[in-house]
Amino acid sequence: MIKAAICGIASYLPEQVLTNEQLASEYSGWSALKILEKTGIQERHIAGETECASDLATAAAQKLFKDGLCAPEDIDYVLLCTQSPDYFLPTTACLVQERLGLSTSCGAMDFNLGCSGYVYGLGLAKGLIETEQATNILLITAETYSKHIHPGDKSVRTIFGDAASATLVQAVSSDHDKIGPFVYGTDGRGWNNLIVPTGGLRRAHAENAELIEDASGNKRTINNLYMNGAEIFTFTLRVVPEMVSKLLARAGERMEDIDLFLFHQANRYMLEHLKRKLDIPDEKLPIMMAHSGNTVSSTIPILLKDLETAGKLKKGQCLMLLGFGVGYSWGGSIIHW
Amino acid sequence: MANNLRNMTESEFLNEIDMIVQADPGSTAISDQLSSLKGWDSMAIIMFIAMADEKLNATLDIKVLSSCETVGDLARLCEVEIV
Repeated sequence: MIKAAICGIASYLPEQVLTNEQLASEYSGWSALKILEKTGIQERHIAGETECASDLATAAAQKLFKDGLCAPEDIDYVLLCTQSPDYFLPTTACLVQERLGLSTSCGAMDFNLGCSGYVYGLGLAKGLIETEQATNILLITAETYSKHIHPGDKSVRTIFGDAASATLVQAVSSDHDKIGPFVYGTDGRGWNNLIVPTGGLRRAHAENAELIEDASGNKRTINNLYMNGAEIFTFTLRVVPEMVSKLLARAGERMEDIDLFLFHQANRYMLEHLKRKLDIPDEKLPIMMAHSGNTVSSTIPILLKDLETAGKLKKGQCLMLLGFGVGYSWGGSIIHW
Repeated sequence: MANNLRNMTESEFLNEIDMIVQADPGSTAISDQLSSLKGWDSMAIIMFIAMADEKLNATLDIKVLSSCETVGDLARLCEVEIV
């Protein structure tokens, strides 16, 4: 039977680095050590002024090709997840098709999701492959949240980093699923808890926008990313345990059958709390975000790649991937590595 | 608020607040204004939500949390009995 499988992953982090020491020098009362302790992040990479999602996406895909797992001409579909596209139109995936020299017979599309994006992307890829619409899919996540963030907003500037990933999802012959099952969820009541309020067609970018300072001293304008961390955390505590239960039930697995729980790397404190809440052993829920931060839809593929590089992934392992956040949107999947 | 709340004394609650705001043990009082607590910032709020979830099995209404002005208000939100 034809099944979809993850056959390779590459990631790209922009050159410019924002360290905790730099942040601490700008924000009184926040030492570099405090930032590391609270977030688990030591540094985050920031896209250059002229570096956009298509640039990061292209760089990640080129690394994948350089690894020899496939050639550009083999790709017959591009799925690109981003919330910071180069343009409203055309589609960023079309730009990437041209820059990578992919066939003009290749399908290409963007989809707009954040922290849940990688899981949704795997679901789309599985659907395309197992209905024989595609054979070699380039699933790309590319995000430049830094361009939405005000330099005076430490609440989000300490957390988010820019990055891209490229995953090769291929058709393989197998008797059992390599990717799946899936669970999905959406709750639009959380729409304004992680948002860039202007720049879309609902509300235009505001010229000379007023600088607002909140009770914690974070500064931003209406044109900048806003995150209500408390609401986001509460949402996470509500949906993640339920998602784990539903996914286990759908897969017919138990907690102890899962070799690794690969959660969206939002921040270390949240992940440590979820680990305790779900009673997951330390070694089964890796937290590896010190050198990249929260890269939105790229956190899970970057985590997979880092684990693979460290020799911590073994063939046949049962992995649970969970993405959750902006929207609110969430998704989970089982992967047989 | 979720059912099956666990109990916590006022003293235990204040100890938790001391840890969250990184104050000396015993230094936080129930009448303290949150705005006067040096360590009460966005990260402390996250830690407070986590503490309520883990130790009190409480799901907090963030809008109500945002309106709290004193440590006592936080305690009442968590249904901790103030002596």
